[in-house]
Amino acid sequence: MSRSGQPLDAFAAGLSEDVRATVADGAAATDAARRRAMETGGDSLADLRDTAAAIRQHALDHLDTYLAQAEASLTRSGARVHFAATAASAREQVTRILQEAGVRRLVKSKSMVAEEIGLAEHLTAAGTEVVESDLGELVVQLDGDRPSHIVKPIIHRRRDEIASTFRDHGLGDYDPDPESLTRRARAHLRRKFLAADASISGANFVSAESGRLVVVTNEGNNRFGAAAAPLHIAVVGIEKVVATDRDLSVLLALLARSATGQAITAYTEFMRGPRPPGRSSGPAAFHVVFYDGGRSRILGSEWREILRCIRCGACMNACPVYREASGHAYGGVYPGPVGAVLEPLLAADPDGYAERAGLAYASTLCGACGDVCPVKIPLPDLLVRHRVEATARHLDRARAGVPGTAAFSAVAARPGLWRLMLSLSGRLPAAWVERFAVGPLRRWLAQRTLPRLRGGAFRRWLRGSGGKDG
Amino acid sequence: MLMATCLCDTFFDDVAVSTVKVLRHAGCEVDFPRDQTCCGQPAYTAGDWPGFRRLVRRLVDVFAGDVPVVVPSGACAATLRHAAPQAFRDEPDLAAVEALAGRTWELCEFLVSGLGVRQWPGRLEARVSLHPGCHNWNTPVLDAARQLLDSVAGVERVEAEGPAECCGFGGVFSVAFPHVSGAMGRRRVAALMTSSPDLVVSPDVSCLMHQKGLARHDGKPFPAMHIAQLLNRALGES
Amino acid sequence: MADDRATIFAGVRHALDGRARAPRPSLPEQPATGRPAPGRTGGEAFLDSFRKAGGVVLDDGPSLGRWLAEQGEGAVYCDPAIASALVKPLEAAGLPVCTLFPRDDPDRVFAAITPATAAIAETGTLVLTDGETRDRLAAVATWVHVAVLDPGDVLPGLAASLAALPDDPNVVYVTGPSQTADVEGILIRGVHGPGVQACLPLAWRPEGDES
Repeated sequence: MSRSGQPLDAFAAGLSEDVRATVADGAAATDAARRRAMETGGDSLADLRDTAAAIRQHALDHLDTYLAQAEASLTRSGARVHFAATAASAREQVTRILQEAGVRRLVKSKSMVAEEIGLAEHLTAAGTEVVESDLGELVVQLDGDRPSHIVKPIIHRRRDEIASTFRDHGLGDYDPDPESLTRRARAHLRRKFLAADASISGANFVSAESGRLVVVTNEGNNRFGAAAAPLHIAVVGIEKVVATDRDLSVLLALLARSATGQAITAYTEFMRGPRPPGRSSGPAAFHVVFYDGGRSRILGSEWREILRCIRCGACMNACPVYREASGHAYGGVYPGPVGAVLEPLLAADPDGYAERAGLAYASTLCGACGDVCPVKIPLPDLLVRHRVEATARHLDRARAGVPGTAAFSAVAARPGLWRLMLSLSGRLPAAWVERFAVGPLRRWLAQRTLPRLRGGAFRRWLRGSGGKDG
Repeated sequence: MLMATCLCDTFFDDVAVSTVKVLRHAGCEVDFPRDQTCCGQPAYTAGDWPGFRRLVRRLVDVFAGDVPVVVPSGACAATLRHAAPQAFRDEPDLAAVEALAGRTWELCEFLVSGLGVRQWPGRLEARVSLHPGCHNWNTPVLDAARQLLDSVAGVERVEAEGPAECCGFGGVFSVAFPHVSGAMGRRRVAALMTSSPDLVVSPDVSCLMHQKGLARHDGKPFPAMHIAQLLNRALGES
Repeated sequence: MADDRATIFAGVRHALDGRARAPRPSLPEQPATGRPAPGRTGGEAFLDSFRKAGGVVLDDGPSLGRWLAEQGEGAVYCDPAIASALVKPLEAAGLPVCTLFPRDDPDRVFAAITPATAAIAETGTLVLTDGETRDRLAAVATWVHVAVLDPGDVLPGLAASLAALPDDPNVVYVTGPSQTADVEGILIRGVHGPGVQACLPLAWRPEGDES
């Protein structure tokens, strides 16, 4: 692989055919399920995407109002609300809440914000037992692996590998049957749920009007975790706020269909405070940590539409580059088109941006991501805006392997020179070009045959055929 | 006015010739402004917007007037319609760019929606697989291309395997991501050839150049042509 | 931290300063696919979608007892609010019944019966609340969960349900059994929560109770 190339391409080139096929098949199957679910809804569902985009954009454009309203609503229902501007602050505040409550063991459901801030690793290092309760997250936790998809964390794993993982970690003998694997996870996690001193989750949405946090799972792991533990902490990005409960009907209908092809997720939980008096299960203490981590900066940038994202994963399922390269190729928390837009923006410092902005070139701009997005984020346009930024700021690392277009544009801006180059090229035998090609053209020709050079031929024909000019 | 595209100017004179013949057959007088070069898409996708704007401003001058501008490429048409207005969002000449975009047509779309062609004359016995080309999704171009193909006597349209996917060309993408681009292209070629069509056609020659380049490199048959060439061939022209 | 709060709000206000702000969109009355098939009432439409989501519909107390006896071994937890109507038929089927969930020995109980606050016809969803569920752990930790639903509590769609969510710290929409497709996309039921989700239509609220 060329040293001057993009890391994502090198990663993809080194990917085993097994992993590639597992990822590609999994993503394609989910994309097909999404398409079926959206089609059965007829026109009303297609129109609903416009409404969903408007709901999210409205909430973001009034985030100052709605975030304050969400805080007040949550406080009224007995929740403790915290704010964290940075990842370090979020980790510190969660740690303090846990310490004050004497928590030693906790279960955690899937949360992209927790991944962003490295919460599980941080708490584990500080001596707390953290158990991932989503089946896929449990597998990557046991293995020291990383999720490769935001909805299906182990889309890159096959059953036999999972069976080996479970055997190696004392969850039973080797048995790759998916049902047996699930039963073993059930038995293992039941004990963990019941012994936990706290549960941690993210939230898919927050209603400003009522303060309700919406947490969706199919496994019921958040429901179990928050029913069994006496303390719950939700770590939530500030952009998750929407105006009213009623808005959620639109967003939930699209989230489930876009993520898995379901009409609704099996467990859709609305949480807003501690358990009522006289109840023995459910958290007695309920905390919400609103996390910024660059979101307010993005809100003021020309990538602000990305904050509409509801983390359904449809863009990665639809993306042919994701399917070819896998989520790990993106090297961050968010893979696929949304990751290629978001990862450079979430990097807190300018060096981080330069390092991650190359992801914006990891797209053919085919538009599949934008077409499936339930909140109509113009993902290809946002990718191009990163490319413009990387070019204007001369971020060579981000542009690694990307051919400069300046020379071509310079010729194309001078019609006389263009015609001269055309007629010269028309006299070059293709074999010479292939033999003496340098730089980008050489790389391109390494696996393709160049068509015959016919510079100027059309213009000559046109003159001969009585056409105007040429 | 015909915008022939830089690729046709450099490699695919036969596509440009077919386009002229098809347009003339449909009753058009074809004007080819000689100072045209390229729509600027490479600069747009690479992120060089100052360079892109320079080329688009030239297009506004070169294609001045009020007659339709027809281009045998959905990608180039999309560059003018979708990309250029974004790059000119904060520029004083946005209106001029939008005006040009507003009278720019992809060839199939021009024939069907612009000229009202319902039935393409002539005959061609062929099983044809259509590569839509990503820029044509959710645009009238794809419907027009299907409609034209289906109207040609003797043409039987066969479906490629699976949902239509990008072939991985993407201009600068194919250079910066050679592995992924090549793998996507090979998969697309295989999908298009599943039903063993006599011809693979597309409204975009750039996709075909990439796919054909891969297939020829691998020594695999890939009988691809631009849709203008098929329409021209149906007329009994070579 | 107090400083963080001020920093975040200042950042948000700075980002929005002077910008045009998108208005609130009007929401469709019945956005998704929620209209019942012609000739079906709301209750029937709910049971149709509930079955489609993988749920089991039971007829009455005695058939509940007989069916449960085939589902597993051990005791059955019954929420105190509905115990008076159901303890007899359950015991008649030979099932030991408890009305306090044994948190320290949960595997002793294989099934839980709790009241549903409402249901949604569009999606086949049961709406459970803390207000009407004595022990939410019981409803999620057992292999079989039976929700007792008053047929008068069926709502047409998600929109209607979300427009009037109960004033409750915890509301959960349960649609079918607990499930996963994490392993190679293969659907498996009963991950952490119930592997079997059932519904017993029964007017369980005391007469005159309008809640």
